[in-house]
Amino acid sequence: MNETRRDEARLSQEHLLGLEHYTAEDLELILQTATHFRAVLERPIKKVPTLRGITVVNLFFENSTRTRISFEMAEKRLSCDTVNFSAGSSSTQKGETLRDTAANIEAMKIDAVVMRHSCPGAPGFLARNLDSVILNAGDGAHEHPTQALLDMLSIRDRHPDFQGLRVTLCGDILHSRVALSNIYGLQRMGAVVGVCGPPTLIPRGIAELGVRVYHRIEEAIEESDVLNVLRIQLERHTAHHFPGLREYHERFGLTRARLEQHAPEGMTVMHPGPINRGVEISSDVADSEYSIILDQVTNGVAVRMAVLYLLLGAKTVEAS
Amino acid sequence: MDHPTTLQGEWLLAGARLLDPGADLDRVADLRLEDGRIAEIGEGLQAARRVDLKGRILCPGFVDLRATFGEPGHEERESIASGLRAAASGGYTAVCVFADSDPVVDNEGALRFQLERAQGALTRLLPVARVTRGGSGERLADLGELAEAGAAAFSDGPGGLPSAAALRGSMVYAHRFQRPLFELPCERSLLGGEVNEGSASLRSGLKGIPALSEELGVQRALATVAWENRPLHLQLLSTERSMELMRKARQEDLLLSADVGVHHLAFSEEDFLASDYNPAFKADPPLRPHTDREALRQAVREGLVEAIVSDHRPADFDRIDREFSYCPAGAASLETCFAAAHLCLVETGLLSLADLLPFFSDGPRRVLGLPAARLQLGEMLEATVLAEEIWTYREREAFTRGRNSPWEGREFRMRPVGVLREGRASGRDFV
Repeated sequence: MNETRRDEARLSQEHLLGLEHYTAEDLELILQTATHFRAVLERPIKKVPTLRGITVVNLFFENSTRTRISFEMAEKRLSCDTVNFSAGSSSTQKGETLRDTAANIEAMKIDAVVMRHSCPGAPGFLARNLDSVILNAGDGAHEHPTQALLDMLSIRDRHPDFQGLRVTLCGDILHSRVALSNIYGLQRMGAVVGVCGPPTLIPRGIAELGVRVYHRIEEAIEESDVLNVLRIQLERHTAHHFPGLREYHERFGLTRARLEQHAPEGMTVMHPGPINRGVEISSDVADSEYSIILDQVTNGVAVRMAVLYLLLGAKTVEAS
Repeated sequence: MDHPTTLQGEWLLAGARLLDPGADLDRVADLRLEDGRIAEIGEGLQAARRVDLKGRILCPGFVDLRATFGEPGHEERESIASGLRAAASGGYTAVCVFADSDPVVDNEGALRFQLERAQGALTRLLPVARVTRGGSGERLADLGELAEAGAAAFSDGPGGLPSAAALRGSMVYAHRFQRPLFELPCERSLLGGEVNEGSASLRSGLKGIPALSEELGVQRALATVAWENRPLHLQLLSTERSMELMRKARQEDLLLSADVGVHHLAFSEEDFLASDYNPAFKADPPLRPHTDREALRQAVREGLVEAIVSDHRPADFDRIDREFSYCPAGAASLETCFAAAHLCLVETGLLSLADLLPFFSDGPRRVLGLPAARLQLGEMLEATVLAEEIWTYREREAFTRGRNSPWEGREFRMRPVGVLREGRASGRDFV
């Protein structure tokens, strides 16, 4: 990244709380920046000094292995100093409030907080109470913006034009934080977004977001260029959502046979992970030529480098 | 509104617009009091002491059917004293108090404690006692004893009664002691969310509470009232369909009455969504779509409800300075209720001021079985003084301890500025 680029390239937002308020220009800038950083990740020495001197705290109130590792990797590749905090070992168990926890960490002079929290809106609460830059790494069933950004980057590798591209999210839309971010981001870039799943797992009124709704997986396959299959989290479901994993796989699972019978040419299959093989997706799809699941993981690091850089890069300029 | 002035002997309240739609009264006149009783109404009256109320509106005293105080146990949310001062500041001469207390008010001792704490306050505290022991919804409390000790109504607090059997038994038994039963209609198996199921839950990621929960509760209430032919009062109805059911109850002459909360008249889930997870917009029942809000306003106009209630549920700063999901539902609203109702019903042209007043006075008194407060000769004056003026609500200037008002910094055009009851008065005109 050269200095002129850095001066021109600014996001419209100070934080990354979600994609709801990000413009198409913001998204384009992030994806382009991520493409640059992906090239960095292919080099023998994968580290750049871009954010040297910047301190980022990864504040994870909910378990997450891959998102936390991906963020930490992105931070280290950019030469940030990083501190990890997970709720299990923390003072929150002693009754400390989120604001106090965060304010104490901020008092140690940090620049940014990456937070995963089970409560929707918690990153916004933090942003109102701290001076640091806040990046949402998932807030309840609300948003998970970097997941959607890495999904978009991965889609663009296979389908260069978002305009009119049909992307359908399959599975548990109701409890998903990935769905909303994907819907906002993809629609803003011109894609046609659909959702597919048992009607009990599709939120009431979702049509007001301008998405197509499918209750039959075959129909969703036929009318999509990209299927993004979401994880079924059995622990979140009551007996009234669906009868069990066997029936789920039989009726709504993405199988090779279904793809071969219904998929249009060049279909792409994605999954944010972790995969339940044999539930929402079968192994012969997950490991097939349709799948770009591992590309998504690589792109995750690049996209997180991009947002960290775009939100924090100005700080290094100010400092120097 | 801290220290009431005693109106002993002869007093003249001069030049106010006397507005009592129930007595067909709307004129600017003087009102002469003798020991708090209305002795004369007319022009150019004389008395030993005189209070100038020129430009003010004097109307029958307001009664609130639902306010929550925290004493004993949660005084930081609202003590009985702070709550009653807030009530007086909001124009109320009486307020039905639900105790968000620890222990709960399900026995004579707890109820007497409430009444003792309220002594000396101008606004009368009308205790709403739990209808079941501990508010558990299981075994009935000693309703006869509670009624005798001064319970004005019974209710089981948040969440309502858990079963049709509990509702039926409570309703029938409470009626024996001529106290109304207040119920928040809902189907419990459909609760457990935080915002309206629909746009609000969809866009916020918070768990939704479907309107279906309330509507099933209203249907259950309607059928139970029809079956038992005993009265029941439903609180905080929030959906269009609930109002359709109330219309049906009206057509069938059922002994079912209802009220609406001022939040549901003023706000919708769109306001919640625009608030960026502001806990003052977390309501129970949740704020519904604006179409429901419009339907509620029309239902008030149509007279399908008896009262507009504050549903004052104060929370102190520490309880709301946290993630939305961990904040309690409700808002501090005693001091803004009438002004807000005026804003959404009178200033929108739906009702006249005279049409609005009964929802704050005659209607709630009817529900409670209390006599109306009339501006008529021979009556003890129980009245609210209103001023038409532009004012801004500021929590730091308010009497409530609640810091969860959705109206902070918002402007109103009508303001209760005084209350009179039992020969005493408070407010800026009476200092």
